[in-house]
Amino acid sequence: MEQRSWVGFARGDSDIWREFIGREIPLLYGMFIRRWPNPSLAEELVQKTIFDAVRGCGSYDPLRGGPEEWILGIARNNIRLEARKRASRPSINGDISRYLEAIDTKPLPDEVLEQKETALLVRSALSRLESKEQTVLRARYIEGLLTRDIAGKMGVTEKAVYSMLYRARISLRRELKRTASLYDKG
Amino acid sequence: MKQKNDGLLSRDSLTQSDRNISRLVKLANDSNQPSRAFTESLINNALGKLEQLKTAKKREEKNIILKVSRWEKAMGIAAMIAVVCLAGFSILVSNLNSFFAVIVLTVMFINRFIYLGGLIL
Repeated sequence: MEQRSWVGFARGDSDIWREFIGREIPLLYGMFIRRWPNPSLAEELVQKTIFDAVRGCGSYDPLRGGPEEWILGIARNNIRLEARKRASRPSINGDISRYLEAIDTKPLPDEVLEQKETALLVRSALSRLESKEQTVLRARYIEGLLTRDIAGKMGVTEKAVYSMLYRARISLRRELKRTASLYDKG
Repeated sequence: MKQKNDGLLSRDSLTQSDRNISRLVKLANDSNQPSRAFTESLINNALGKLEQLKTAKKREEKNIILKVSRWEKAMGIAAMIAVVCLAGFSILVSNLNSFFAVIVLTVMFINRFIYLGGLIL
């Protein structure tokens, strides 16, 4: 960001902030995902960092440096907080198959999601689903599209998308369990 | 924050199962970049929050100005009353002879002392 925009940034100028956030989101996401290979956590930390910056807008001092360094400081602090949170909870061992039984009731631990085997298992399970089921799951969870957007993209009604998603989730759960048991045997 | 876990799908209620499936499916993303929907949604939400904070700050500043002006108004009225009282008092004293003026002043001071004594005790 050009130095002359720093004062506008400190004042909370919407146009400057829009441009700034748009540029920083991919950078922050990359920084978090390199630290923990967990897209959901990376999104959560990006959100936290951006909102911390918005709330702390008044504390930004242009004399101390550019907004980029300032937001990086906030991001580093969030990494420290996350690391401290992890250090304070009991260590989690074991693969995903232990947690699949409780998928409907308990959150999957981040440590399990960050294992390479988990990503492989999900890819393998997804590839076994019908093409439509894969498309709807990817559109919803990877592309982050709303039901009406998925309906428009697939040329079906919103109700059809809901029912496709419902079936796809059941199929994915079934395939995850089947693939995990194959991994255990193998 | 958690509400935006699934691409900020505020309309759809998320169950634990939904959240877990979402976190798992995202692992299959080959790109090291966030989705466009996530980015756009986050930008809009952050700007909304920024505007909200700016409005709250402006309102706060306005309240301080209002409080100051109310205080100034009260002081103005008090000063006006004091001027009117002093004018009335000086007219009263100028119309009395010096003996009565001394009596009126003494009574007034005693009255004040009694009033202040009552306040202190």
